Amino acid sequence: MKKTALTIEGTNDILFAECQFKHRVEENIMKCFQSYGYFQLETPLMEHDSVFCEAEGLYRLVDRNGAVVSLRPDMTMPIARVAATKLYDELPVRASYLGNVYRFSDPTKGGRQNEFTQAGIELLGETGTFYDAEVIALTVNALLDAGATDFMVELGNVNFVRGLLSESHLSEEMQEEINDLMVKKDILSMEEVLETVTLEKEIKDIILKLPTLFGGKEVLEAMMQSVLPEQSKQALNELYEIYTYLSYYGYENYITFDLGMNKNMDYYTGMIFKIFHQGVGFPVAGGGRYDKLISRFGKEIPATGSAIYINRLTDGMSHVISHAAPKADELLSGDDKKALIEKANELRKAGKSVIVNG
Amino acid sequence: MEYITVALAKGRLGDYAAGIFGKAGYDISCLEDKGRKLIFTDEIGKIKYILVKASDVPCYVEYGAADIGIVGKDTILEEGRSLYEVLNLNFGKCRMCVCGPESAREKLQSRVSSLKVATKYPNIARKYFKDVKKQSPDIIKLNGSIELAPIVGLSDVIVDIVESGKTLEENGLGVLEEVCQLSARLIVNKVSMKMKRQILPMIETLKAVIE
Repeated sequence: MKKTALTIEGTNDILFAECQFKHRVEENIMKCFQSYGYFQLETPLMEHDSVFCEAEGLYRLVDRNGAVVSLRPDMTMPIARVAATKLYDELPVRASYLGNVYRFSDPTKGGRQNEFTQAGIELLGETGTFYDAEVIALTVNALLDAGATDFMVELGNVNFVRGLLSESHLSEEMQEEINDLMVKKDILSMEEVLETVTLEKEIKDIILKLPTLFGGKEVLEAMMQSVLPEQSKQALNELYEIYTYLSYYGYENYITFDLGMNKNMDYYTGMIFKIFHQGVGFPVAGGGRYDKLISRFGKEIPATGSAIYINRLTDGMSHVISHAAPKADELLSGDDKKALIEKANELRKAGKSVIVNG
Repeated sequence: MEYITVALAKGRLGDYAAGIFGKAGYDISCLEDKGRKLIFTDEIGKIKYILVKASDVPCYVEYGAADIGIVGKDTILEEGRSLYEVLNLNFGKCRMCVCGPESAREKLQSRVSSLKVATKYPNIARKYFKDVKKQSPDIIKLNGSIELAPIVGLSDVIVDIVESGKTLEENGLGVLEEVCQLSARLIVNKVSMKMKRQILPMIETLKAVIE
């Protein structure tokens, strides 16, 4: 019988040159994580389905007892589980990870990976902007160490928009709708929606401006002059503090702000960020503060973290890979097998890669 | 300075969009004698125009192969991709409607009988029936001559774009419900919007022309 000989859609073989390049990138990133005291841990590829409860696009398997298990769609949930069950009395904990995660993408859109590698960090048990800045700075540092240069960080805070919307006394459905439109920067439909509701004019004006509130530090400073709900004002102050700390790291030139940024409303609780790389259509890294997430495993632990999407990053840096397959340094052959093997071993000990032909 | 790549839909919509760039002061002479070429460069303005099938415009823009695209709201809704939708060009105004023979009106309201819907826009149709009408009809995807479906009994109703309503009328069909209003939109890649400095001024220039 002829077997199907292709990889499953959304998965890829990564062969020699690309594989070597990817590993070098990963190695530099993990080394950088360690230099900030984030030590690596591993969790199982599969977990009880309930660990990932609300995630979309899970790969589900059934085990021998009929229980549903899932392939991990990200690493944050497993680490949250570890934190709540094993590390809660050792806080704060700095952890890093490197591994493949699995998510079904919409097949009609094609060309997306369902299996991809993430390298990331989680800082568990610390609150405050000093630590938010540490996570962003470390992510930037890791990208630089990996050899990336042409990228920028986009920084926001979910509480800025949340403050504006909660002040508005709009229904939850309406808030969600506005949020969706804001994520698309669809000002036009936002105007239409806001026309149908009664709202303070000042708040309405700011909400309508949200999609355009991105850029450098000046965007943040200008907005800090406005009359804002307390929660929104606090959110801006946090961003300003984070920016200041990042300038101490020397990374202020990589930072831009998007005050209308607001993803996953029930996951993140404070600052959020994405990192874009020239020539890659999707973010190459992202993260944020998630102080409520771990409580679903029974312990209240504040946390902040980030993940680098290795495959997208190497895509963006592909101009530096030579696509020729790597070659061994020496090719030895000879009739005297003993001499041949001894010679090869000698060279290998000296750090050469050697192939023998007997 | 880097090039900005603009994805235009082949056909009437693309011609109109090119006209807007012209009105805004961009040199579109490279687009005049198209022949079979698919890519046209304005070396001075540093703009590349690419001609693609309308339904592919959101795909090019989402992946960043094009920074900007101009395409109908119907295509944006159907494709459901992750991108910024920044301007309404107020061109190509029309409606997405549920249409059919008058006799289908009753069945369309019924929660018990099984409804068949033919359409070029299965995602829009499915979402409308699910969210607005709380129904899950059989959706039959067609690629053209949608009006034929209810006439020959392939479906009860259709979901399609209605401009004048003439084609419907000539085939003995009419609008039964309106799904949404449509027009051409300017869409932008999420990374380009942030990484390419020329894009915001370009949007402002185009906006001034439209208003």
